[in-house]
Amino acid sequence: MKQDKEMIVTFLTPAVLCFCIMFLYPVIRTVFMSFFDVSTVTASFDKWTFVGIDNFTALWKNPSFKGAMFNILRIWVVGGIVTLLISLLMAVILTSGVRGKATFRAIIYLPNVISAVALATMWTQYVFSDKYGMFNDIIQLFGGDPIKWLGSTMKFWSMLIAFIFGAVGYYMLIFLSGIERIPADLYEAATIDGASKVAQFRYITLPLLRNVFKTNLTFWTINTITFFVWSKMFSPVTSELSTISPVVYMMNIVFGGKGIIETQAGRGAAVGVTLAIMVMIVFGLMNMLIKDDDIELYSFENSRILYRSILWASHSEDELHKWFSSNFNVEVHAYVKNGKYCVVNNTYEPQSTTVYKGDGSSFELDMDANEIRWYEI
Amino acid sequence: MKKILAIVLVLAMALSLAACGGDTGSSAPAGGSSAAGDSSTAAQSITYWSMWTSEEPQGKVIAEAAAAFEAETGIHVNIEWKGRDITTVLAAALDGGESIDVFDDDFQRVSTQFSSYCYDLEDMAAAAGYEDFAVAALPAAVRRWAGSLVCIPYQPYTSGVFFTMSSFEAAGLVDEEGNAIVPTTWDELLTTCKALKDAGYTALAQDDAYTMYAYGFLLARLIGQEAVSTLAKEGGWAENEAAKQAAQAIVDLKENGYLSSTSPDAYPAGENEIGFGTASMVINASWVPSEITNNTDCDETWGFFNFPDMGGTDPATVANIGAQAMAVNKNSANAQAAFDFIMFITSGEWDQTMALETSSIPVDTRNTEWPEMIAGVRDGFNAQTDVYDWNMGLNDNADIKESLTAYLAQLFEGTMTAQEFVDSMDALY
Repeated sequence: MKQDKEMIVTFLTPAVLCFCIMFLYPVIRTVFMSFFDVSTVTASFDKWTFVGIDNFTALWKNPSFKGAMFNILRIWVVGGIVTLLISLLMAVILTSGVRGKATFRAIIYLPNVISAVALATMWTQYVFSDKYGMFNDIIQLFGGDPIKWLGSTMKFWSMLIAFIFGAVGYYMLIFLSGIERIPADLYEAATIDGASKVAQFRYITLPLLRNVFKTNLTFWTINTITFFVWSKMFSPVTSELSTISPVVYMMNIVFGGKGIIETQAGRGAAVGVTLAIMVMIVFGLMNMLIKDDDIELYSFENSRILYRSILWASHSEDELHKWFSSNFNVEVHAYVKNGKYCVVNNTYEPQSTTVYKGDGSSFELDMDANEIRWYEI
Repeated sequence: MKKILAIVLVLAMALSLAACGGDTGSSAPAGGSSAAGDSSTAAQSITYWSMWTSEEPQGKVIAEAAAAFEAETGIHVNIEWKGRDITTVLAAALDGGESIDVFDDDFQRVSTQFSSYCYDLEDMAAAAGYEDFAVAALPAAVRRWAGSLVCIPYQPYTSGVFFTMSSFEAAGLVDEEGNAIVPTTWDELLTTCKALKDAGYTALAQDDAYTMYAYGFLLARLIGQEAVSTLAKEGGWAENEAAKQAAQAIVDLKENGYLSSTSPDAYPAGENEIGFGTASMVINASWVPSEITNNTDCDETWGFFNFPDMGGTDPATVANIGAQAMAVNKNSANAQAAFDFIMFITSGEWDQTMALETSSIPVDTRNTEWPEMIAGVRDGFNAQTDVYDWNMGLNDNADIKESLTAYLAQLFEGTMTAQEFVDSMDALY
């Protein structure tokens, strides 16, 4: 189809303009602002004082900001491991043919439908309550000592438990869809071969979920960096060191809080820029560590396994070393009637192999990338 | 094709830069407020950005008042219910030239953060005889922050110690006429606590959200708000005897069992204990009786006394008094009409209605009817002589706030000594 340039421009312009005005401009302004001493977000430019990287150095000296960064680091690592493990486990159990799958899925996903504010209130005022809380009731039922869940030592972990409870369903749903995309015949074949559920999980589900893992990790990272509601709900009036997150800290210094007069929009911008840089670093690392390539079910190695299985099934294993290459990246094609055979390197790299002829005799061969060599029989 | 795309992109860039430039230019007419008052007589409508929502009792009273104002003056008031978000959106809206005549927020914030957007109300207030009936401490605080009267405070609150009459009766803390015997010094407070404890009550309820408030009260009583502010900004906690003494007071309260074993509770679990009848007193502000009543559906008669004298700089008559305040946009073309509307709400009949409907203190001293819930506050409030800021100066260093809250939590839990507390605080500087 011929591309209509005018049409493309007509349709693209509004989007590009919107992007520039609503996204690019605030980004550029925020980055600029982070190098200035600015009191309010909307302060006119003549009230900006250039301070270099002072905003950033002040941040990293600030106990509240450092505490906030430490908090999201703990949420990201500990919470991430626990959340993704539980949600993966739930997804595997739900796809394993358990009865009432739809009901369980709905129940586990339910916390995502309820407002986080309502959920957090339920946790702080009921589940974690010292006097009549569910957790302490259970502990006391087994004769244990009640724990002060919202005390200064436990508050962070209590918040994390509540947050994980609310998050599991979401990640489980993504895992579920990933698992359901894996062809069922793979599991059937594995079951016939006598692979246990655990082995099936290890050798089929896990490798094929690599991309889904990456998606979930991305969402988890974003959720952690923008951690706000739960922090606010666990310390509703004044923010506390144990529950503060960088976004809450940013909000406090940009807009002030109860009885806080001095606002520092410039330093708030520096928080934003710092977080953005961290996100970029994390995503860069993730892209390096988790390769995007889909695992292909067809491979030279797999086809060689298949070939040997067929020979084994037909009791013809002694036929293997005829017209055969010891290196599975190289194939030997024999055209016996024409009196010719060829050796093909199927890869883009040089390969060396041992070539077996029809009578079982062999010779060593080094081949260039993609090389085909013809021989007379 | 590439060329066209390039042109589009350049255009977009130019536009976004123009937006950038436009922003710096738009605030140029600052200070151009001189002509504002003139056209007010002709005003047919004014716009009010409210810190309330239309569902809140305050919002309902204001909506009724606005209708009455229109019936009386013919001036229609467009009310935009912004809720508490007004704190974050107001400055941007005013900078952007939004047509707003009246806005309101916490009176300290209006007098500081937003004072540069406010019309100076001194002349109009003098003409209206505002000082004759205002609760004097409130405009005084506005002038202290802003240098002149930039807003009119309304719906004020005061602070101190609130308690239920039933608990004081159970502990035998009433005289023959049935009036509560309230402490005026710290030692007397400890005696009161003991009597309440012996009667089976948690003497003092304490929530995590208000630990700085309680400690601030203790500290400011000893050395005054100025010194608290300096301490917060410059440190030196370990050398400061008062800082340690105030911390020790909390440790002692805990050790003597006057605080609940679970204190500080997760707000509002602690104060709710008063409503449930297991705790007696709480250091808080005058919204707390109606808050607890709402939360627990209790039916208590509330008493109040000023935070006791600790033998330090400040007497028992200084308290954190706050308010909301209405201000006129300095660029308003209807300043006089806007001011009239503010006066209409913050004095006379509608101030009385506001006080009764929202269980708050009337800001017009001619209104003598106090809501039942806080009737007990009246004598204490009338005795108060000076004003603390919220958290009594501890807020003046925002950098230590979260850490201070964390350490105070440990003091109230009884897991930290006073010495450890001041040492930990010093480690922050």
